[in-house]
Amino acid sequence: MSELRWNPLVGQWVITATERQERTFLPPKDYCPLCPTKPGAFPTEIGEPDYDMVTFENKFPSLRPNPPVPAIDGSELEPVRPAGGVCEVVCYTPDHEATLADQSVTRLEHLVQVWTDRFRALGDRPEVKYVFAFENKGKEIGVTMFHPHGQIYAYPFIPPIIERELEEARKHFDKTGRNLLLDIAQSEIADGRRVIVQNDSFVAYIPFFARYPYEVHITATRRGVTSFAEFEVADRKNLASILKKIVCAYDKLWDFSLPYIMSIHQRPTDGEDYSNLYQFHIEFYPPYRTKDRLKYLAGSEAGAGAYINDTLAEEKAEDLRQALVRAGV
Amino acid sequence: MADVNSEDTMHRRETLMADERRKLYYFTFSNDSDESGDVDSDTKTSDEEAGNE
Repeated sequence: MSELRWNPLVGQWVITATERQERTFLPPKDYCPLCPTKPGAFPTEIGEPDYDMVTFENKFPSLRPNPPVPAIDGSELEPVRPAGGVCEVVCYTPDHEATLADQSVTRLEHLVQVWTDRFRALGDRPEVKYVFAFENKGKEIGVTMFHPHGQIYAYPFIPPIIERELEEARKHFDKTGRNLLLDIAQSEIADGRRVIVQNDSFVAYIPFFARYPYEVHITATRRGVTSFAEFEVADRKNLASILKKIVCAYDKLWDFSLPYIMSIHQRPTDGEDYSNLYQFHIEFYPPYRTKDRLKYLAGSEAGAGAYINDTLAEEKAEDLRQALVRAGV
Repeated sequence: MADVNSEDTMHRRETLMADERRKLYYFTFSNDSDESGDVDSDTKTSDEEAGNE
């Protein structure tokens, strides 16, 4: 059963997708569904014996191109909708043991091209209002498959965090005539204490308002870059380069492969013009606050939405700058 | 030093998965293009190649 149920208390859609309870959970390497299918071996999701990069529709999707009729009636107070949309898996590499940090800058450029292709293709679907690419990495984040991969959700609505960012960006634009995300990026560059690395297209920093100790944002600094669709070739190369530096710095922080959520924020695909309001950016949320302690989203965060960060962004940015030097990339 | 204005050309091949419902896209990259650098999606599908359409 699958449908969208409206939560009138906070004004958000909740996706009900009961089939996902049965999804593959931490399969052994020999039965990884994201590896290529080797001759005579277990047939995986990917039928060919090798691949470069692959995307495919998730076997256990939250959103479907042809969604079933909702199994329950809604009401005026709590409406329901079919859970239309698309959920895709993005396999970065056939190498089961690799991570994003192991990929070359050239391969990361290829990944940016794949993300761009899927943003355009999925965003062109009339029912899709928002294309969200992300990666959940590590068992601490709750991954169900270790093979290096990301996901793309093409939603039939603008998801709440993006909607909130757009609301604040509109308020800022109405008040100042300026782009909020560019102002934040320029403020970080001017201050410098929280900047990890910068190139001609992007700046990576721990934001002044970081919620997680090692939360990093990578923001496009060229005006009008609201999504992959506005990338020029140099932007693709520069994103690949800065992405490589950040994920390698993460892994050098404590010399283990650091789990994270990587969340790619772009403009909606609802046909509106966001060029003055929004900027492409990536947000990383690593769950560790020290090398052996996790930051949990507990009472204040989960129940009240008020984040408590036990660290100073300025100090954690220095940690990451030093880790980047040790990484040597 | 790499030319920042050129990049590998991307080719996309669409096919159906074993359940014959879900779509799968194979992406490959080549550096033999003299085009502008825009993504070149080869949308010819395996189904078309197999005459299944």
